[in-house]
Amino acid sequence: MRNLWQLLLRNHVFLLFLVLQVLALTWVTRSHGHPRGRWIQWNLRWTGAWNEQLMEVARIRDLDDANALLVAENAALRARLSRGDADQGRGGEVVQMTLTRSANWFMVNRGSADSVRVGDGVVSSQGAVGRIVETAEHFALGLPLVNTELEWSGRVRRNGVMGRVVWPGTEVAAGQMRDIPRSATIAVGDTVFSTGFQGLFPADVPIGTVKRVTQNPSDEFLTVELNWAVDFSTLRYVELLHGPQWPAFPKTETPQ
Amino acid sequence: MARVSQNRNAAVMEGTLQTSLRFGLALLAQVWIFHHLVVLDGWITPLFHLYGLVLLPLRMRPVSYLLLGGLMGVGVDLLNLGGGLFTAAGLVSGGLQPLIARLLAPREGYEADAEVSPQTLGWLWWLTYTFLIVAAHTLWLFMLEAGRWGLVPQGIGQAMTSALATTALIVIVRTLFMRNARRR
Repeated sequence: MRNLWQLLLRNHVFLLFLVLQVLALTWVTRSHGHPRGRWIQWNLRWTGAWNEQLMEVARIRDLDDANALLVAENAALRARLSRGDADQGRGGEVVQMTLTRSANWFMVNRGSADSVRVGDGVVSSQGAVGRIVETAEHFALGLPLVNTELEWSGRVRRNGVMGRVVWPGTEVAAGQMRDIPRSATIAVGDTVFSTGFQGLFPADVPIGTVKRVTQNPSDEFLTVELNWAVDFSTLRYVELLHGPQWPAFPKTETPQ
Repeated sequence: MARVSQNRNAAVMEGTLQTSLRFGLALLAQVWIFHHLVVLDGWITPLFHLYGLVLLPLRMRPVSYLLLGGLMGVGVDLLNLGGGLFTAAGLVSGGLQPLIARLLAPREGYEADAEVSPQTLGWLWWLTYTFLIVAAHTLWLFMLEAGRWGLVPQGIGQAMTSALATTALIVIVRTLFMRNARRR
């Protein structure tokens, strides 16, 4: 017993390291995918305000690009108004975003005070961005398409073929569409849109464009590589969507 | 005799205050500034909070390095939504820091009041010491962050490039502070 006690005392730093490392790794595994915990509310409130200040600098720097984006967004909104389906969105600005992790996230300067709710879909003028997972009064935390823990439902517009859209975690600009049977005809340049099944986005929100199609020798499926419709590295203005269940299965393009 | 003891106490107090201030400022600088300066898709990720850990005095107890490394990690995790990644990495670099110092110790050992700087211990020692601590931190951070085996090779690559960038950043800031101190 005494020897054991001495052994423990002699290695107390290493033992303490092991205990603390296990605690830290528990924290990591519990929050992988997206940060969880009560402190997120506090973090959104305080660092959100600071990030918004930082964005002021970026706003001035990127004024030209932002202007071009807003012009495009206005055109898209006008088109939606004419279709009569533009009453469920609220505009917001991404004040912080990580793109270097496997479980990336972003912060928007709209929160529960602006009726933003957990589960709201987030889109930009270019296409689908992600979904909201936490809200504070004036800020909300969202997970983008570029998060290896998430799956999205996508459909090739030309022929209606559906599959899981994921981010493999290697390149920020590229995603993958999986579970596409070999019999499906997918061509480079085909566009992939949301199905509306997940209730996050309405159907027909652009997700990406087919970059490469490969056949897996080990199974009966194709792997379709995509270029995201949204340029996440310059993402700024977004729209937060919630409301009635979006209708699924919209029209497909007729082949030329 | 009493005056010598008093002077020593004052010097210890000043050193502790300086270390604590550096620790806090490095944490805030990382959270508020350097966290936003990640470039090249994460291949250059500056981790400036390590500045506060690398410059900890050499003659502390090993458990102190461990706890301070963990504490710094908790701070970054809470303020930057790191989800425990920085705490785990801070514990690794804090745990290894006394071992690295022992590994690089001169034959006659460190002087009692040896400061971690290129002036007192030489540029080669200082660069090796800094890089090894930073590399231990980034390797564990990026490998954990990868989350799956397929992404580990890329994580190791990003860890190495980020370790080089962070070491360069620490060296630049330390050199600037040394110059200012000399001018004063």
